[in-house]
Amino acid sequence: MIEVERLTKRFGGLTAVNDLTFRAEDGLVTGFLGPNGAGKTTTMRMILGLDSPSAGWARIDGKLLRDHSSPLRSVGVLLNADSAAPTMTAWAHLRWVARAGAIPDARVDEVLELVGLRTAGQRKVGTMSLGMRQRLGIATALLGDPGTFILDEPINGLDPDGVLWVRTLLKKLAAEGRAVLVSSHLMSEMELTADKVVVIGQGRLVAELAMSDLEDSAHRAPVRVRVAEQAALLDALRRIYGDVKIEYPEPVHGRRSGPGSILRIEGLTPEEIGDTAAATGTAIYELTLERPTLEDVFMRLTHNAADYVASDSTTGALQ
Amino acid sequence: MTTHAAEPSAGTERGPASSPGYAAALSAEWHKFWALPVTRTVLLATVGITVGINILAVLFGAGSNLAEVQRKGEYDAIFFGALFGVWAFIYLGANFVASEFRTGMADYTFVATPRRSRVLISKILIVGGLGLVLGALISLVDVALTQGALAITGYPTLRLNDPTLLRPVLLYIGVGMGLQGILGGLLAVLVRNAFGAVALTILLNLLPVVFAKFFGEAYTRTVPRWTPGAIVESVSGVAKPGSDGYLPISLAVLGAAIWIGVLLALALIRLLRGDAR
Repeated sequence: MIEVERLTKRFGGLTAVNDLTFRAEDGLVTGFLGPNGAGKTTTMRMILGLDSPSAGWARIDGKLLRDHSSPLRSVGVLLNADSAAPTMTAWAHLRWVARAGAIPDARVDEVLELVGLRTAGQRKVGTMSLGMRQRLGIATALLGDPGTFILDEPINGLDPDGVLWVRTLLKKLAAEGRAVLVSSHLMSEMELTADKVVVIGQGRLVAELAMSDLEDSAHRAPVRVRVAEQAALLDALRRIYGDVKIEYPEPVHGRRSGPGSILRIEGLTPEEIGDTAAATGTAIYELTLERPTLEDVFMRLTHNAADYVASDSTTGALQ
Repeated sequence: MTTHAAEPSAGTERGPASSPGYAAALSAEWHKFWALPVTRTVLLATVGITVGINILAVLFGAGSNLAEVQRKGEYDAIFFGALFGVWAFIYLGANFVASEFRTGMADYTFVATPRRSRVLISKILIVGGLGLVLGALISLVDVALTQGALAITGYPTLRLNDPTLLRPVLLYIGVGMGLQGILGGLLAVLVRNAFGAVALTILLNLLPVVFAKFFGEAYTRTVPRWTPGAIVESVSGVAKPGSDGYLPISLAVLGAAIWIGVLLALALIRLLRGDAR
């Protein structure tokens, strides 16, 4: 388990991480989310002892990393695909890391096979694509077969096959009881991979959210409905369920109401609306639960916490 | 080019957890050292410069010129080329440290070995040890080259079975490479840049000597003999007793230990207290 307690990092006058507290438990994939410059990488570096906290602490399985008797068997790390020396071969890179952890050389071939780089072991790191370097970084993290993984943007540069492979790998590692802390900008990917997410903005904790909470919130989500006879359906719904909250989100053929228009109904389930429509003989063209995505939640939570935001204009001042 | 990844898994069952200590750090740094192509390039350059210059001297100055150089200074003919190799070796030591920060490799290094002092001590052991051995080998080759050329052309030669020659041959270039390479590596921790560290090492050697012109005789007879270069001359027996650069061997060894100790302390403070960037 990774424990982060009141962690703070200041670079001169800039506070990169501010009083941050969270946990990444064993058996879970914890997504670590935040806008650019939110402090995710700095937090990960402090957990690993690479950067010194200005205040607070971070522990892996109850200890600072330097107090672990065999660090590579405790934690597997991918911080930056470019951290392997570009002039070294993939195999040589893995071998020196293995030696540092007193891990047999045979494991180097094993992890190269695991990440699909078996035939690229003698290639220089600098000649590899970003996707291949990411795989090499994952191979390095797997070397010590550790109980905890800390991976910074591991799917950057991977092809769809690679993304699926990483997703399956992370879930499997967590299913084996390991703690996996993974940062990513790809919300859709995190939604598919993570069991919980920790969201930070401007170095502060914005939310710590189990993905099951997101599922629960879907039950209270509005339902998007497109019907032939809007008035008949609304009458029936009001008769059965009382005051129903309705929005007209977008005009269809220039009209906000009338046949074929779209409604957003809150407080009722798709089943309740569908059954009512059937009972009144109203044709339904569309009935969709507007489940909030992780991206929706993320955007709402970090709206005021992004350091770098583009303007709405697509062309700027160019005329 | 990637082959198909295996079924996602962390692989084999976790093996018995042996605790990696200094030996693991030394082994990792040794393999890292040789896996960096720049190591082989600089070593080849070091040998090429040191031996190559002497080969040129033998080819173009065979006989009389070489004999004249050796007559004026007993070791000048042997060590002329090797001194350039020392500077190349300082770059090797500095780059071995600086490349950690330049490439970002430090991230992996200090996660695998969070006790950073182990990494630094392993690096200076490798640079120091390799410098000693390589320097001695280069010196022996240079002795064979220069004295062979003199013997063939009928001039008097130095003999290795002379104890006053054996000590400088085995130690002068070796201790020079080892000590100056270590200092270059330790300075690279402070400045995080190989060329900056080489420049600082050169300044440490040259500035006290340059200042001697301005600071008078008392300064000249005390300070310059404690520069790393002068210490190497005293340890290896090149400096003559009574000369401005001479220190008794015990003091010279102490001086080398002080240089390494002070810079090691500064490097450790920087390395242990700062961020690994």
